[in-house]
Amino acid sequence: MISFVEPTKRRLRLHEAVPFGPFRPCRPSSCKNTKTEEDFCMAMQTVTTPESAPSPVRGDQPTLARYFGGTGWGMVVMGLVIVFANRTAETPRLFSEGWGWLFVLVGLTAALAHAAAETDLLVRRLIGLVGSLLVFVGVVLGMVMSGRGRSWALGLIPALPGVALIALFLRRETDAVLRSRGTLAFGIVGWLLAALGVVGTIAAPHLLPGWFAPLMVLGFLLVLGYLGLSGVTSDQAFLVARGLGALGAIAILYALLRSIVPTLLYEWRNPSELEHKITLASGLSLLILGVLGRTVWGQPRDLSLPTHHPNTARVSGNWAMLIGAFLIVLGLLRLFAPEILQKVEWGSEPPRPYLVPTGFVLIAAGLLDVLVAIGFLSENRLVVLTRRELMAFFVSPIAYCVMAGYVFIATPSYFLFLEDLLIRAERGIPREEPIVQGYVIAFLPVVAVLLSVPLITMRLFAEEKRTGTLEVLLTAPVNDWLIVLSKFLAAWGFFILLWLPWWLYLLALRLEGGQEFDFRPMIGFSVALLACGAAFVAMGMFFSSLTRDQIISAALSLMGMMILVGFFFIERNLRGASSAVVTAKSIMRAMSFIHMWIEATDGKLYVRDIAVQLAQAIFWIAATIKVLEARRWS
Amino acid sequence: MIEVDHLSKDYGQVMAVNDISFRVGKGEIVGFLGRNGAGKSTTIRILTTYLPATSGIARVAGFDVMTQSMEVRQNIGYLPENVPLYNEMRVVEYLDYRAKLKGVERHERARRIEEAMDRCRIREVRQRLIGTLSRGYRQRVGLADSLSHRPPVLIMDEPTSGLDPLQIRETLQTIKDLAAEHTILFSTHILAEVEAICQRMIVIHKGRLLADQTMAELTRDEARHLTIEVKGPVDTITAALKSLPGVSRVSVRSDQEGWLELDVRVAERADPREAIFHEVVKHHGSLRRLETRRRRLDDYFYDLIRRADEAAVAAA
Repeated sequence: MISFVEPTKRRLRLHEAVPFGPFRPCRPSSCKNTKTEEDFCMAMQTVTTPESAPSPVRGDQPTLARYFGGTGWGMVVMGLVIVFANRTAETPRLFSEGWGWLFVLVGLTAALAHAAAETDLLVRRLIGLVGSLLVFVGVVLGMVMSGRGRSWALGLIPALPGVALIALFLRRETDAVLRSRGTLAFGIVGWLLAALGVVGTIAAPHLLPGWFAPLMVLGFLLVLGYLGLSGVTSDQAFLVARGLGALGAIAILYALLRSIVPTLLYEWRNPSELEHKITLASGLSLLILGVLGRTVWGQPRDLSLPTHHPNTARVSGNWAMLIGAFLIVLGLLRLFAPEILQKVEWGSEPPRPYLVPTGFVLIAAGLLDVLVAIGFLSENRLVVLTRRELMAFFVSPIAYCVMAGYVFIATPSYFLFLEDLLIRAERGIPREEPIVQGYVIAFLPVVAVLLSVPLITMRLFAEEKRTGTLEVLLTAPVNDWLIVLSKFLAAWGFFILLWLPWWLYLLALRLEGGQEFDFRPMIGFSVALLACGAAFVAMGMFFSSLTRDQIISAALSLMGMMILVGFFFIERNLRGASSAVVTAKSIMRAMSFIHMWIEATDGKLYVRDIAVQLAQAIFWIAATIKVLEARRWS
Repeated sequence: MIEVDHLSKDYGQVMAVNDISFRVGKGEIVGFLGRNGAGKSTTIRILTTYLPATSGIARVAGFDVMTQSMEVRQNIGYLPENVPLYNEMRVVEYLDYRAKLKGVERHERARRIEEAMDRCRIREVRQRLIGTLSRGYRQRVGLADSLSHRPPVLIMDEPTSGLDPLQIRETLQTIKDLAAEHTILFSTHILAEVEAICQRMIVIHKGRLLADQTMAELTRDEARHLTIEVKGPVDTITAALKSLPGVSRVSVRSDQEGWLELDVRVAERADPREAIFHEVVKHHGSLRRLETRRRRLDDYFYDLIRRADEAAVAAA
C-alpha cells in the first residue's frame, strides 16, 4: 500500500518546484487583453520549467529487423551444419559445402543488419556477448591453425563478424562506462595489432603475406572502428589517431629508406663525375637566392604591417635556403662517399630488391594509416566535410546492403573462378596468365558496379535537399565546390572500399592455393577501377543534385550506368566496314570501361583511357557545382 | 548591422519580395512579421546568402551579401525554418562538426560548444542521436549551432513554429537573453511573440514592406483612445471634456445604472488623463474608471493588411 502513497508525494514535490504564480488577478475589463506585453513577460519569468532530459524515445520497434536477425542466425546455424555434414560424411550431401558457407554469409549479414537496428538493451548486450564469443573462437582457431603450420588468418573468419557485432553493440550502448571502456579496448588492441604487423614486416619480410598482412588489415579495421565509435570530439581518439599516423609514417619511411639506401650505398662506392658538381652548384645557387630573398626582396615595404606578417618572398627565401643547404650536404656526401664506403666496406655487394613487393605493401599500409590519421585529425574544411559524408555512409542501412551485396557477388564469382581453375588443373590445361582476368572481367562484377553506383550516390544531394540540411550547409562559410568535392570524395572512397573483398579473396587464393601467380595485373586493374569509379560516382552525384527524390536520382544514374555498360555490347555487335561504323566503334571502345578493364588486366594501362575516365569525372563534378550555383541564377 | 535597400526578388512570374528597405541597428531585436507566403523566408534567404536578390542591395554586418558572401556567412548565425539537422549524428558531434566548418579555433571550440549548450539547455542530451530528439530539443540544438561561432547577427526563420506553448516561452526567453550580445532578426506570424520580446517590428505583405515601427511608437499610437466611466451631470462633463486641449472627440459607448462609459479620442502625442480627472471633479461628477484602451497588436496587424489589400483592389 505504501507504494501507492509514494507517487502522490513525489507529484506534490514536483508541483512545488514549479511555481505557477503568483498570477496577477485579472481585471474584468482587461481580461480579453491578457496577452499584453507585461502579462506575457511576467508569465515567462515566473514559469520556470524543470529542465530534464526528454524521456527516452522508444522509436520504431525493430520488428522487421528482429525477423531478419532470427532468420539470419538460423541460417548461420544451418550453414554450419551443412559444412560440418560435408566435412564428416563420406558420401556427398544434398547441399555442398559452398552452399553452407553461402548460408552462413547471408545469415551473418542479416544478423548484422538486425544488430544495427535493435533497440532493446538486453538484446543488444546479448549481441555484444555473441560477438565476443565469436572473437574468442577466432583467436582459438587462429592459434590452432598456426600450430598446424597454416596461416592464422583463418581465425579471422569467425573473428571479423564478431568484431562487427561488438562495434554495433558499442555504438548503441547506453551505459557510459561500458561504452567508453569497450571502445578504448577496440582502439588499443587495434593499434597494437597494426604496430605488430608493421614491426613484424620489418623484422621478417618473408612472413608478410601469411602473417603480418592480415594482422595489419585487422589492426587497421579495429582502429577505424574505434575512431568511428568514439568520434572526433574524444581526446583519447585524438591520441590513438596520432599513434596511427606515427605508425604509418614509420612504415613509409622505413620502406623508402630500406629500398633506397642499400642501392645508393652500392652505387656511391664509385666516385661520380658530374653528380656532386651539379648538386653542389644548384645547392649553392638556391642558398644565395634564398639569402637574397630574405634580405633584399623580403624586406617589408609597408612598415606599418606587423613584423610577422606573411611575406611571400621571405617565406620562399627560407625554403630555398633550407633546400639549398640540404643539397650542399648531399653533394659533399656524394663527393666523399666513395672513400668512406671503401674504408668501412659497406654496400660491397649488389642489394636485393626490397620495394616490390614488401616495400610496396608496407608503403601502402603506411599511407592508409597516415591518410586515416590525417582524415581524423585535420581541421581542414574539405577533410571535415568528407569525414561527415563518409560517416553518413556508414550509418545508413543502404550502405550495408550494398556492402553485403558486394560480398555476395565477390563470393560466387570467386568460387566460379576457383572452380574454373580447379577443372583446368584436373584436366591439365594450364590457364594462361593473367589468370586474374577471369576473376574480375566477368558478368557478376559488372552487374555489381551497375547496381551499386546508383545506390551509393542517390543519397548525396537528394537526401539533403529533402530534409533541408542543404540550406544549412550552403549558408555555412564554405565554398560550393568544397561541398561537392567532399561528397564526391566520400562516395568514391566508399566505392573503392566495396572492392576490398575481391582483393581479400585473392589473398586467400595465394595463401591456400600455395601457388604463386601474377598479381601485377591487379595493380593495373586497381588504377583502372579508381579512374572509372571516379567517373561513375561523379555522374551519380550529378543526378542526385538534380532532384530531391532519391528514387529518381537512382533511376537516372542507373540509366547512365546502363549506357556506359552498353557501349561495350554495342561495340561488339556493331557490324560493318563503313567509315562511320569504324568511327563509332572506336569512340565506343574509348568510352567503354569494360574495354579498359580488359586491357588493364592484360597489363596494358593506357593513359588515354584513364584520361577519358577522369575527364568524365571532372565534367560531372563541374556540372554538379553548376547545379548548386544555379539556385543563384534565378 | 543589417541594411536592406530596395531589395527585390522574383521567381519568374511571382514577385516574392518587392522593393523593400529597412535597417536593423546593433543590439536590436526585430520581429519580422507577415502571413505565410508574404516573402519572409525569401528575404531571410537573401540575407543569409542562400539566394541572390534580383535587384537591390543587402548588407549584413557591413558586408554585401552578393559580393562578400563568405564574410557574411562568417558573421551570421542562421536558424532555418523547421531546423534541418543531420539525424544520424550525436548532438555534441554535430555541434563540433559545425564549429569546425565555421572555423572556430581548436583551443576555443570545446568551451564555445559547452557555452552554447548551456545557453540552449541541451547539456543533458549531448550524447543523444539527433534523430531521437523531440521538436523542442531539435530547435535548441539548431540554436546552439547558430551561436557556437559567436556571430554578431542572428537570423531565425520561425524559431517557434511547431513548439508547444511552454517551449515557445522558453525559446523566446532564450532569444531575449541573447539580445545582449547579438543583433537579432526573427520571422514569425505569431504577433504575441513579437510583442513579448521585440523592440521593433517589420511587417511585410505580398512582398511589400507595410510597416517598420518600434514598439514604443506602436504603443504611443495605441494610446489615442481612452475609456472612462463617469456619473453625475453627464452632459456638462461631456461638453467640458470635449473642450479640453488634446481631446478630439468624445462619444458615449454605454449607459449602465447611471454610470456612463465614454470613449475619448485623443490627439496625437497628447496625454490629457490628469486633466480629465480634474475636469470631472470640477463638475461634481464621479470617476470610477480611466484607462488607455490598448488596441491589440493583432487588430493593428489585420488592419494594416486589410488596408493594404483594399488599396490594392482600389488601385486595380
